[in-house]
Amino acid sequence: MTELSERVGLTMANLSVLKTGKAKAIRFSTLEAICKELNCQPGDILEFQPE
Amino acid sequence: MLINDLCLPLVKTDVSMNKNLLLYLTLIGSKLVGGLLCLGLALLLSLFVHWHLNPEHYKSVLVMAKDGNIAFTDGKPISYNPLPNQGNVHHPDKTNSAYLSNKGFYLNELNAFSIYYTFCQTLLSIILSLFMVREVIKVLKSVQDRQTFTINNVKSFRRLGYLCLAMLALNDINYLSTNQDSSLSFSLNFTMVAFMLAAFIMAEIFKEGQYLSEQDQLTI
Repeated sequence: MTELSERVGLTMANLSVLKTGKAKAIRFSTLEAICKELNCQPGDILEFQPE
Repeated sequence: MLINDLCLPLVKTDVSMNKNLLLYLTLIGSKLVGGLLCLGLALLLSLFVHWHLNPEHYKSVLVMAKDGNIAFTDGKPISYNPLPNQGNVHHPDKTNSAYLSNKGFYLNELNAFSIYYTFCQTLLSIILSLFMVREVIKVLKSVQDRQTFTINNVKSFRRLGYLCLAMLALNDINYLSTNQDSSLSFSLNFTMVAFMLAAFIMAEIFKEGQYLSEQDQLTI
């Protein structure tokens, strides 16, 4: 988590919000930065769950 | 282009400073009003205690129900012109035109219920005003701390609305009574109604603002 937050440029608090699912929305720039650092596609880190 | 680049930061700084200065002045003003209200409260209580100890001292005080408010004068209303040989006579006189037209009563003539009612009304008005000032100070401080759209401010505006409503209900009825005569007046303070509506509307606006602010904070 600490390494990812440093590499992506997010604070630990914001990354924690993302991890716990409390985030209401994610910016394209954030998504792009995460995908770039993890070398993956958005679909690899996002999943649709019907309520 | 160069002029714009140079001027824009200056303009932005000025606006920010003006906003802070205005907030600062309003905060100081609110605290000053709060202090004055505390002084008024202390003065009212002192006068009430002194009146209990020495009611004769206040026998010339004229109490009038005027424009929906209770007014205290020294027994010399504007329309009252005593005859030259009488000087400043403050004794109750039912033929006095000022007495009849303004529906005034001398304090020593009023019955106990009327006096206690007016005292409680004034006391509660000051206390409610103090609570109002406290809520305004809380909102101003939060704006100064850049914590404008919070649930606390929504609650503060709602409390302000309810305090205005309580103030309206409290000051609606003025009652003065002696053994012979009585005066009952009803009034609706439209300024207070406007303040009450504004406070409730602001509460709704701040609620929406708080929702948007929360959305923004939870956008990563």
